[in-house]
Amino acid sequence: MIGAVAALLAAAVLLGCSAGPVLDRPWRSAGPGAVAACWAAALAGTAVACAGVVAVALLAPPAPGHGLVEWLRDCLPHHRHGAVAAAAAASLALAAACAARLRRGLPRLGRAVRHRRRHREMLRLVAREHGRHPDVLVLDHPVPVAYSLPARERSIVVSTGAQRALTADELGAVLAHERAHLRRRHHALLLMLDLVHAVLPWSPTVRRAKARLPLLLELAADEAAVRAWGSQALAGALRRLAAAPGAAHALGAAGPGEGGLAERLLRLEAGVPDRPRRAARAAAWAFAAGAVVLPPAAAAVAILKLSAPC
Amino acid sequence: MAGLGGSLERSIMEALWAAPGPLRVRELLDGLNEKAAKPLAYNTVQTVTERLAQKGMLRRTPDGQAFRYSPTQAREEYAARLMLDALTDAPDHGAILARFAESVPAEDARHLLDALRRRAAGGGPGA
Repeated sequence: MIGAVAALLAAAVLLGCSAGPVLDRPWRSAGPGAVAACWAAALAGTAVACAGVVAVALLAPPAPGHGLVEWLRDCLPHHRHGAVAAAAAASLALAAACAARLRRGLPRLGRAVRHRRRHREMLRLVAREHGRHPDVLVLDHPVPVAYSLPARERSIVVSTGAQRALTADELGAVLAHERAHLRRRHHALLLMLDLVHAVLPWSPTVRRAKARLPLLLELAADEAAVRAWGSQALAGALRRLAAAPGAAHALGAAGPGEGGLAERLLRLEAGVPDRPRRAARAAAWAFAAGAVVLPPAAAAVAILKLSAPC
Repeated sequence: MAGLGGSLERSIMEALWAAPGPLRVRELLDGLNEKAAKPLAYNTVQTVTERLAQKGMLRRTPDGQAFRYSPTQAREEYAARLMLDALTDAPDHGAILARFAESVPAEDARHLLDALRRRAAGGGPGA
């Protein structure tokens, strides 16, 4: 029982605070996909561990949660009234704080989902189906843009401007990139990241994941596109679609090269990314598996022990 | 049925976007049936048109016993709204899509789209 609670607390602290700085180093040798999986697992583990800690705190002996469980089991305990009252107040404060955090995060998630649905609805009325690719919609607009959003059919959208700007190989690379996002459920991951960030913005791991994970997902999708179409086609497509060249022309704005795009181009120009080393990859996946499995297990054990009859 | 409803919604919007003014369901039906292999029933078109009006895509104006329907926004307006979504990240909720290249600030994207639209619409003064 004590062991499970200690493991849960350790998981919350290690994943929520220490995992971020460790993962934030350039782990080139494991490959972006494996590192992205580590971040996702650290996020999920942090969220579950925090939820577990809260549940344990609410169910711990003098708190009303535990009293309720015990009362249900008809073995009303012998805690002193003072302790019970203090625990009740603490439980109330904790539950209120959790509710407040969730009230911040869940509506945000709801808004994103509704916004996405509205976008799809409009797409269905305005965009055309691509003649050759069964999963692509064409949006009639001169600004070159390509993107994807999950849907039952035709999840990739390409503007006519992008079709004009890209060569056949470049378009192939763009589609391969977007298909990789869709196949690996990157959209769901980004939604989860956003939710966890809204609920637990103090955690260093979550803060760093917010800054780092989106780029890692792009790099992972880039890797899939390079495998199919070569780095030249992808780099060409990136340059042509970078921050909408039209935008740079119309606004005289700073061209591409800020942040993620520069890193992606640099990686492509450095040649084919070196094959991920097997040991680094295995370690990354082992970490990811541990971060996903251990916190729920510790939480389950602790909660089961706490709600057992005394 | 969902697929059929979807494609009919689309055909209705297209017919109304192409029409010179607001249409009655009867006129809309005649236009749609001109091109269709299998004629559509009046009730089907009326139901779907009404649904589009409820979604806010169509405006309904009374005309005698019936209604006339017209799109609330031009097709280009919808395309511009989609492009704005596609170019920017909404600040009050997370990413709704994964774009290939980077996002631009919403304000810049809006300026860009407005400039393009003026150029396309005017052909003369703005260009």
